Amino acid sequence: MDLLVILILLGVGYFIGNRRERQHYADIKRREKQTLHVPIMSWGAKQDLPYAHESQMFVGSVVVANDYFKTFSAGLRNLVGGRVTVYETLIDRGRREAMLRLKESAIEWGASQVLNVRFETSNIAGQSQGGMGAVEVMAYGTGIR
Amino acid sequence: MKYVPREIVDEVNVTPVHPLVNFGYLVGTVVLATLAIYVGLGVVGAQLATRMGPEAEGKIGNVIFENVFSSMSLTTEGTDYEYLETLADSLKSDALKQRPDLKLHILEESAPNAMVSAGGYIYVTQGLLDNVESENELAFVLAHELGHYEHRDNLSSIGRSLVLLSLNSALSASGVRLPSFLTGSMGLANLHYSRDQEQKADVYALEIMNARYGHVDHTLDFFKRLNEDELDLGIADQLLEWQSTHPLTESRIEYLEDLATSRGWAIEGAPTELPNRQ
Ligand SMILES: [Zn+2]
Repeated sequence: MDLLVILILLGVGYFIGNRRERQHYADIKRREKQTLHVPIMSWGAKQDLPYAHESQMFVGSVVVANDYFKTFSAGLRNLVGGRVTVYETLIDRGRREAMLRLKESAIEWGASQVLNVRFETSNIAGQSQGGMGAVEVMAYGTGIR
Repeated sequence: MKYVPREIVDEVNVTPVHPLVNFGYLVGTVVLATLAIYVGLGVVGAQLATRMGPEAEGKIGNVIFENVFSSMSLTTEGTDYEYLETLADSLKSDALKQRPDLKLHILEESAPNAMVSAGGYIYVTQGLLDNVESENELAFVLAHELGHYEHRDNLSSIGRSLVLLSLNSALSASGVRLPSFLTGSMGLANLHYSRDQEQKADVYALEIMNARYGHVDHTLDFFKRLNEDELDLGIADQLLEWQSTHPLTESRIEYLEDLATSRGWAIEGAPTELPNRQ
């Protein structure tokens, strides 16, 4: 009985999770192409920033949830060690989505470049034992025009 | 320098492995490792059971006692107890004298039963004491348990747990403790023996009976009574309980009677009375 529940959760996690992941990646790639014309620049502390009339802080943030299949795979991975490949896509999607949201709001404002972008991640878990949770990825940077 | 936008084409941050392949690999590895450990523990456990020294055996016995039996209502005093202890000690074979001393306990339990656990812990229920009618009957039950003890059946029956327990007592000197789910009460009270083990314990007991009383009469009366009472519902329960740990079936009784005949042991003799009890 317990095994059946686990198998159902795994199946739901795998099929739905995988489908959404593929859709999300397709969406990310499309939007990345659209926003490609605005460069993301990083400058050192002692370098002069490019000249700008106006500047504004932009924040893009996203919360991506884990699915049971990923949790289970990662749990098994914990036993043997090594790359947690199932989480790589999760985090990758989070970073790119956050960056896209930042860029899209900067483009709407009319930015020509976005400077010194930083990432923050935080774990939204702990409500339940067993590690089912979500990860928040936030990107922030200075848009100039 | 002019900025030329370029599309990201290669996914450096994502390992190109299908999640199901990854999953299959993980499940396979874990299952194989578990299987290897399980089989390995079984092999090592069986070896340990036959080779364990008295000191290590005593330690393991104490741990099992603490974990499983110490919470039951036990009696270790009174005239019944002293009588039982003397009786049990007198039934030890020479080989048993090299093993940890017997630690007898009377279990406050109405179903007749007796068991021996690692390290010489012997448990006799009050129900058994109330149901036996002669010393011969009681001595046979005790000797049968001692037979299991001498043949180390009680050690092999806990098999895999034995390895973990030994490891734990070896490591505890250095301050390392195994997680408690590995050394907990899991399987420690497992005292189920194979037919072969039961038969060897029976033979041990019968040999001792012959040496002690000069005959083997009355030793099996207790079991015969239990078998006859099978239809009586009140006893049937107790019988089931007894048989679940020590099935002394007709065939085993017959085997013992044949054995006594073939070895030329006296089949008839007077029963030895139990000391007067209130
Ligand atoms: Zn037995």
